[in-house]
Amino acid sequence: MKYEIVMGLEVHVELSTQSKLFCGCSAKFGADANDNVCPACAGMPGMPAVTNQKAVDLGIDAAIVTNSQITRTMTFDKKNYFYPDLPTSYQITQWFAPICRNGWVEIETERGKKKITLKQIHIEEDAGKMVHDARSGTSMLDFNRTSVPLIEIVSNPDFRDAEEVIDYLEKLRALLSFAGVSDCKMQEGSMRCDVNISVRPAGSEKLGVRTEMKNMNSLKAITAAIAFEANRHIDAIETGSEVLIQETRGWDDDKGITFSMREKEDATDYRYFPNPELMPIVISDEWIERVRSSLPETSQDKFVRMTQTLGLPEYDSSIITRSKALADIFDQTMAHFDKPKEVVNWIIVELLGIAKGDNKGEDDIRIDCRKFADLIRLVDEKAINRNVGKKLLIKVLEEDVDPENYVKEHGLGMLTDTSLIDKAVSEVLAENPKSVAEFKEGKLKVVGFLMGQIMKKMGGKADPEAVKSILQSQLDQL
Amino acid sequence: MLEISKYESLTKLNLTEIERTQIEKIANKLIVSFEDLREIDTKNVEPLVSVLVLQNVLREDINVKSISREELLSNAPEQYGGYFQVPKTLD
Ligand SMILES: [Zn+2]
Repeated sequence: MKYEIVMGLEVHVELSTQSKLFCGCSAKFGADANDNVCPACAGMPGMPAVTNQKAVDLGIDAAIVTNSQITRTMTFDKKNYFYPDLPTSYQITQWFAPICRNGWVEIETERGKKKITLKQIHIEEDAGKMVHDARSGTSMLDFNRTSVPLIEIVSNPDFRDAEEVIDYLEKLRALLSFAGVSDCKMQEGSMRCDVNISVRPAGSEKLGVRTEMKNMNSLKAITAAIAFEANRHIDAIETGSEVLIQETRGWDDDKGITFSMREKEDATDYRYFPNPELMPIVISDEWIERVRSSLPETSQDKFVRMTQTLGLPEYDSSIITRSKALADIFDQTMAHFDKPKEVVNWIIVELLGIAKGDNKGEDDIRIDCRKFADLIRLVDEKAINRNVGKKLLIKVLEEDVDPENYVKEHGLGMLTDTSLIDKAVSEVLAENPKSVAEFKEGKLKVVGFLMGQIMKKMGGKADPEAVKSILQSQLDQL
Repeated sequence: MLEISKYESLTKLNLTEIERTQIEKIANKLIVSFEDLREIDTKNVEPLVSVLVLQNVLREDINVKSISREELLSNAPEQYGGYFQVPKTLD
């Protein structure tokens, strides 16, 4: 039988604020345990919660870029559950009047374009971090993340395969990071995705039993978890190997399996009720306009600018605009060296190549863009050859060297003196009679080998084009 | 009738049989009183979030350091290395 997978996503994104949602504690990632905690976010009784305006602004940003309808009077509610990572024993979230509803995000897969519709986006506070200490048999609590502002983007069950899910997440990441809503780093947990999944026979209207998957911290993990869970559901339906129940399951990345975490509560189990300590927030037209007019260039706008105004290929432009970090590097490098095609090439081929080799994500590339621009200019002006430029780029990344000074100090300038090149070519031909003989037999492959030998002899610094033409003319005269 | 055992598990409480009977009695009385409220016509009444007539109480996004970690942890029954320490809890 053919099956259809039905999925809905709940994506949590940490908002880029300085302070927490309801108190002035720092929201910065990576502080020492419990360093950014005050009586309010530690849940001490009687502490007033006051909403951070920036969090509401960023929520409105998110509503705008996802084409959502903004709720003009939004409120906050308490969601009750008892777990040690939540010192108040309730989470402040939005249940009855979330910041916006009914948005959509357009995705594009091999089957074409599709609109993923959103049920709602709500603002809520994050929970703390709990570490289990096996030695003492206790749990250790760090409340630094408690009350850090999040938005949760809840989609309708519109997804039919993993490819759609991944494209949606990439699209969402681009939309939100370009708008400055969040840096959306999955590894650091500032973007987290829960997948609700069920399986039904193709053509059936009735939804199957739904499970929710958590703890996937990369796109790769999400793809693997969907494949595993869909198969588990299909096996259960076909062979009756197990009875599917509505539950929350964790993803074990090492074992490549999902495991049962707990039976999923019903919404009524959370006993949501309006939070009387937080006043309703009325969002006016003026407020929305103020936020809209200060929105930075979207990834889509940038794509149009790159392809139409700058005349860059669509493929290159789509790589640059899928990541805010790369787009920033592009813009900042262009500010110092205004040749878009060269800059894009150096980013995509060299910079991303090095990052990939180092197992680094696009967002983790740190480079001084002025130095990067200088380096590209040196190659473009033929002051150094491209290979020297590649090695220099590693020096700039690792040791932050100044390209021009480094080239001078280490004598890496391109050798264009034709008499020197001529001499090196003659020597290499004399040293490699076998290759020369092969060339005469018509084996053109050896030209590459001879090129390499000549470049090596000249310390890698010769102008490759000059070497090529001199080699060609000497070979022709043989 | 209220299922007390369900709320016991949601609030992570272990009640004795006597407590359970007592709470059951009080809770069911409460439910009956709320049934009376259903008779009131609220068709044209907006839901009330707060009894205060205030809106848009907001603060600027500024960091304010309030108390030190030592002060924060000074109330903790158990602590270790800057963490609150609680009995082992597994989800
Ligand atoms: Zn705080």
